[in-house]
Amino acid sequence: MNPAFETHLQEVHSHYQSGDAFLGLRRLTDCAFETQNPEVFRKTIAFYEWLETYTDVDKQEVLLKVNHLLETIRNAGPKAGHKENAKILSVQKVTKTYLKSGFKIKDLNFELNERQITGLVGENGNGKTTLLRLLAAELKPDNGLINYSFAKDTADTYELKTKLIYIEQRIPRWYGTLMDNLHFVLPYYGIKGEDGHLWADMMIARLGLRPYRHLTWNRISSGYRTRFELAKTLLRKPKILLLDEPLANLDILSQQTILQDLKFMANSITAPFGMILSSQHIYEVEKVSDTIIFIKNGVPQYQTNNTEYATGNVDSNHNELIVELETSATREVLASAFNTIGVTKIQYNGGVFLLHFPATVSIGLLLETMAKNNITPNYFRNISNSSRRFFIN
Amino acid sequence: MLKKFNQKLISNNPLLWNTRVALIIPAALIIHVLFYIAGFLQPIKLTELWVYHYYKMEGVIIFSVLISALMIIGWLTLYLRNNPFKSFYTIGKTYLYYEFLLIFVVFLSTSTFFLTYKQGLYNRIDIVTKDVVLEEDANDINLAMHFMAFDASDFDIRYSCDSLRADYLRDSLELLSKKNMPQDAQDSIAAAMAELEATYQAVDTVEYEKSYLHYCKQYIKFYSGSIHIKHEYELDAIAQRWLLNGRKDSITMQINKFIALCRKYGISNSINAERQVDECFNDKRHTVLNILSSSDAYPADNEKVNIRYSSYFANTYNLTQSIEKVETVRLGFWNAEVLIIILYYSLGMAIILFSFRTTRLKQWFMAIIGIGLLSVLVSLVVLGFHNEEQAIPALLLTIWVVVLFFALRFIYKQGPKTISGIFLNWVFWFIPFVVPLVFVMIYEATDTDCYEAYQQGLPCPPDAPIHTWIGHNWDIINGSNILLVLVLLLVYVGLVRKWQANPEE
Repeated sequence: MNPAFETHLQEVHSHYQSGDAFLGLRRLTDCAFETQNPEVFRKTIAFYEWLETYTDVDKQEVLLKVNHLLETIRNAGPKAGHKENAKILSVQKVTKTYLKSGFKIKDLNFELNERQITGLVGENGNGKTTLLRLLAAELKPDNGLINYSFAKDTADTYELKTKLIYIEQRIPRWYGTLMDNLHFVLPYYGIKGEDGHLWADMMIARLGLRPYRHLTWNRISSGYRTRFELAKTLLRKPKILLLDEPLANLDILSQQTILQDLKFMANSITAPFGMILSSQHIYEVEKVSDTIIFIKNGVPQYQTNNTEYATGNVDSNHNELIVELETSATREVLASAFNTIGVTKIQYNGGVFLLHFPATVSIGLLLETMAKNNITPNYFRNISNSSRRFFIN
Repeated sequence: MLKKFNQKLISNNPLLWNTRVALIIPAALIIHVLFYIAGFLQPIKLTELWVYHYYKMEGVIIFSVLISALMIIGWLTLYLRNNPFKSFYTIGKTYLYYEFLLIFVVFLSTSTFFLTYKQGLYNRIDIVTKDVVLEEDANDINLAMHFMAFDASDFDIRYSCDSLRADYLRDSLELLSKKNMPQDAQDSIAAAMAELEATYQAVDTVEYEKSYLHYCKQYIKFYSGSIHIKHEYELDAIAQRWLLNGRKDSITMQINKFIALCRKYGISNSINAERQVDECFNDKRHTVLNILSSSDAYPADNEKVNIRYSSYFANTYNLTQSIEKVETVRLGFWNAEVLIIILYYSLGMAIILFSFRTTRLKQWFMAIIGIGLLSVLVSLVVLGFHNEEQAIPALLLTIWVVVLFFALRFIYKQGPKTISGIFLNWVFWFIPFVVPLVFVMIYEATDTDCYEAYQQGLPCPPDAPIHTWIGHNWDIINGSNILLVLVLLLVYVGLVRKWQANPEE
């Protein structure tokens, strides 16, 4: 038995036990995907249909069915064994200058492994899309090297691009029903006939698109179009997935769900992939990313596991406590209260105060000071280790 | 069932599904059948055959083109929806090649409805005219025409068979006189020419005499070579014998045969055999005095004042039309030339669409505009050349080679993608012209300069064998070129695949 697979199965069981059927079902589908077994797919889809038909069934009955399905999945096992996270992308000293505007991406250096997610953040017009296009081989670097380790034949760029999927912010229109489009994609990846239908059904189910599967472009919202694009892309078995602002069209709940789902899928045992996604939703991206690249005026700054290894010109004041605070209190009240614990800077931006303190100040002391001075927080966040602090003017 | 079939196709063969050939080709076949039936069901009678001229096809052609255009537009709206190539789906290296072949087949199947109609029409005419023996009818008409004067000039002594033989003899003697020959031979030729000239002068003294003895013509002619009818000299011999021997009964019978044929083909006429025989024998010289009208409304425009118009007529134009129609139908229209035209049209359309499909809209449009500018430029440059028949192909081929060089360079060195896209389109569009233009160049370069030889009083030198071969084998060259283009497409799909994957900038 594959230990990683067993852990995943246990996870599903535990989600259902704790009453989180929504997450449980998604993870159950991920486990079913790992088997790549038509019979498992058939039973999983039958389970979805059963859930849709009997909406008010007893929790125990659901659990019974889940356990039965998990047993089937366990017996089928994953299609391939778990492998270590291989390096799939290495970017060394890459620069790119737009001749017309003079805008320049400077000195890009980073790596991406399978099952790894890199978040790309930065203000508009600072080079996020350019960076993604460079990685998608849509732009040619002026200097440096981008190496894709999964490309067998380096001369066949087309072959490389089939595994290097870039989803632009504006999703191109498609025609016909959502399901037909998925059926159309699969034979190109060797999944034909009945198997293709099963794979499409599974992916539709996994991304919560079952109610919309027979709808066309005009009849679904932009959020579901994004989900559909992801479904189509994931069926193409990417090695690297490059997403430009994938959260732009999604509501707050969907943003979290989709990011979590992408993380789960990237972490697949049988079909792992690496992902780089750009977004303005810093906190959501940070939650799922292993690495963050903050880019300002074309200069990248990197942050891995809350440890920064910055390069370039960005001011990196990470030896301080920085918090975001939304409150009805005025700047004067805040200054008078926090001067006592050594506030170094107070900035006001978009209804939110950004408060800078020496690193020696703890969150506990800060909250205590707020309480003493009757400062009621509507919103409070420690951004000392978040790339959010780079967005401060 | 149709939905099930569609689902099966989409899941098993996305190329066939995406190109919608499973929809368009059966639809095209059904329309072909309908056009064939429409042609075959035309109410054709042998007596009205002269009514069905080629111009009758115009309406059908317009309708056919309209149907083709609608079908192609409808097909394009479906076909252009998905492009796995531009979306970087995993496609095999021959995928695009098969896609091109399918596009080619689509254009081929939707472009020839009017020809199917024509085939139906021809098959119908074939059935209606199955009892017609063209050789017999043509011989009967041609012999009868010796005794019916519809056009006075045909009965002029200058166009008699003897005159024609004399003309031929004079031409031959002239040609011989230009060659280097021994003196005695030259003297004999000069003597023969002098004798001939005297005869010509004698003929001129009986200026403009029109006689039934002078008619020397195949009124009905077949150009195909597969139908053998009596030569004009043979007909002349019979007619002369009948006239000079007073064989009125034979002549009457022949004219009656003509009248019967007019009846058979529904040709209006008021010919009276006995009256016409009298006309032939009105004097010893069988002089033509009355001209028959070839239509009841418009008498023939004859030149002589001393000839009267008869009140008798026969619509000989329509008779010719009927006979020619039978011949045309029997020959059919499916020949190498027609096939090559259809194949080139389909190939051209497929190339244009495929280039649109494989490159970007921007590059494709810019390439079209560029072609226009290039044409103007080539025209201006060619103005400076004397021999434009050779200059145009040479210039075009040179441009193509240069463009090909830069297209390859830019594609392999990842040069500017817009320019390489435009160049790639040009290279691709021009592929079908390369081989024919090479042959045009060879053909023109090996052309014999007869004018110069004539200036020097020399006979035209023989053509170079390659020149003759090219002149006789254009169909083979063009046909082989289509096969070559289809092979070269394999190179193009490799190139465009590489181009597509290249960075934008």
